[in-house]
Amino acid sequence: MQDMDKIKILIADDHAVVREGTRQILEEEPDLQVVAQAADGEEAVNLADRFKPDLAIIDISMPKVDGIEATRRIKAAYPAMAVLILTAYDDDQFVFSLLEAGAAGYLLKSVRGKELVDAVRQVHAGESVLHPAIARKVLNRFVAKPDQPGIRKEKVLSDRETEVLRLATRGLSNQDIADKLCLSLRTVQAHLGHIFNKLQVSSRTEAVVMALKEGWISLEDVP
Amino acid sequence: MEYNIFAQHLKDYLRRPGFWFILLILILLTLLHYSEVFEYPPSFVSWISGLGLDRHAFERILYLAPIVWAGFMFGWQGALVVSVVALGCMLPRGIFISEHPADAILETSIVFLIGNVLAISFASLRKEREYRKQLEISQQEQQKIAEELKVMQQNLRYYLQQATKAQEEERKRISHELHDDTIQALVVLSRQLDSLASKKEGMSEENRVRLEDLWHQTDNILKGVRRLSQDLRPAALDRLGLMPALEWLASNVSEHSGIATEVNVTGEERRLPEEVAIALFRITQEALRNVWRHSGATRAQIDVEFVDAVTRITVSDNGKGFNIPRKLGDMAKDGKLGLTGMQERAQLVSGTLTVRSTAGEGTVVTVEIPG
Repeated sequence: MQDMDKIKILIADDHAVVREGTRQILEEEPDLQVVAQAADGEEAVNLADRFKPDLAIIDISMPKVDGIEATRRIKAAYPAMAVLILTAYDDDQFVFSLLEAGAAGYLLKSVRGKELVDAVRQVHAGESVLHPAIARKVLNRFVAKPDQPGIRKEKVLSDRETEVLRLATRGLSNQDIADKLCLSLRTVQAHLGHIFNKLQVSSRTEAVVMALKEGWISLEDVP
Repeated sequence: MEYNIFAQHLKDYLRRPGFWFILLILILLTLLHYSEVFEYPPSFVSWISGLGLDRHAFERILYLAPIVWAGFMFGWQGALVVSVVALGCMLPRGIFISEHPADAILETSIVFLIGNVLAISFASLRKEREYRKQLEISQQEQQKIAEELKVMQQNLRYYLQQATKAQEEERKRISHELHDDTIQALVVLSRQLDSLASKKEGMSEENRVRLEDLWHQTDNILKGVRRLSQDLRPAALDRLGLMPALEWLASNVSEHSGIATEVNVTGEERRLPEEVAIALFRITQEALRNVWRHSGATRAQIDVEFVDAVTRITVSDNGKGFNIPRKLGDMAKDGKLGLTGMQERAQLVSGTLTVRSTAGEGTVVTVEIPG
């Protein structure tokens, strides 16, 4: 990583002990810094507003405003802020709702510390992507329930960018994509950066979800 | 036996004052009829002779009174008995004492006949009146019973509603408690084990393997508790609404039963009152459980329709179907409580449940709830 600045993180969880545990796991890493902790969704939105972290780790079940609504509000105010969901719920339905709300990643609380740290770094680097099985389900959902026709966005991506995104949908890492398209890693990263900018998103996940939703990527592209 | 009944009847008659009164009148009339000492007042004699009667003819007419009365009291059989007795009292006079035996016997016979005819008609009149009265009473009673039954049914439904509500509340509470306390505590435990196992220095390989194993065990418990919490009350239902909950249900059924289950929706999805949403969810869940248990189906479909003021869910399968009893309520007697329970659940939120099935052609369960 060229960026030696620490990744600033907000944690929102109503269980103090779990929240503290998450903080400890993250702070053991030299490149991660927890800048704020919220005990409910409303506080999370307020703290995101005050501290402008790079990434927010949010639980679903929280008092006042739940994690889904908090994600929606944070993404509406700060499209570039990545949201990683850390929850005890494991059903797809939450994944769908959260992806639609703009979350970049979805992790179960029972993940090992190392996986959590990796996920944070990946999401921050715009690398995290949907599990192919979930991507397929998301796609089926959008096919079954097409967004209101007529207000579909004009395809804004170039062919090359679409190609990169299509490979990203399959779960390939940046390096894999670079190898496959005979490009340098930097170029792939640059392409993804452009894609994020054009789509006003902060992660591959969101970019893929939007592309699926808008129909720029089709069923055959999902493994 | 016959004798016993007869004796019983006789005993009953003897107990009634009317019997003794009729006997008294017969005795008095007979005394009057044969008495030569008793004289009627002359004005009375001239009055009845004005009617074309002599004293004894008048007395014979008086015999009608006990006969008719007996008809009233004891029915036509009583009248017959009394008229025969009266005949016995009158005939000796007509035959042996009367100056015009032919007239006397004729009069006596006429009295006997008229007495019986009157008694029979009075008796039947009375019987009819009694019958009508009883009918009225029984109708009133029936109405009363019907009303009581209705109130009881309403009470029962109310209790059922409260019990269902309480059960759902309890399930929700336990489910949330499992999620908010037990699962979180297990998460903390699992993380501590993980961080301990990930420590780089100062641990034998054996201990590391053991910690690793403990972590796996904790994770398995965590999954079990999560499943239990979900089974009690799917979180999607409370947090996301009916459709995501049904989708969860469908994928859950597909996964565990191997029956390919699909959810289709038509109409504008809307947020339903909690009671309606939970009723629809539970009915769908029960319908799918039946598909799984009994139908042998390979495919099932949940169609959700949001029409004007009604939400309709149709669960259909391609299984072997079954013969539906004429009344769904009869299923309870056969020990098949599933459909009855679904029907009750639908009725509790003013909904209806219909089941269509043909042997060999699958089953279609439709629930319709306003709201």
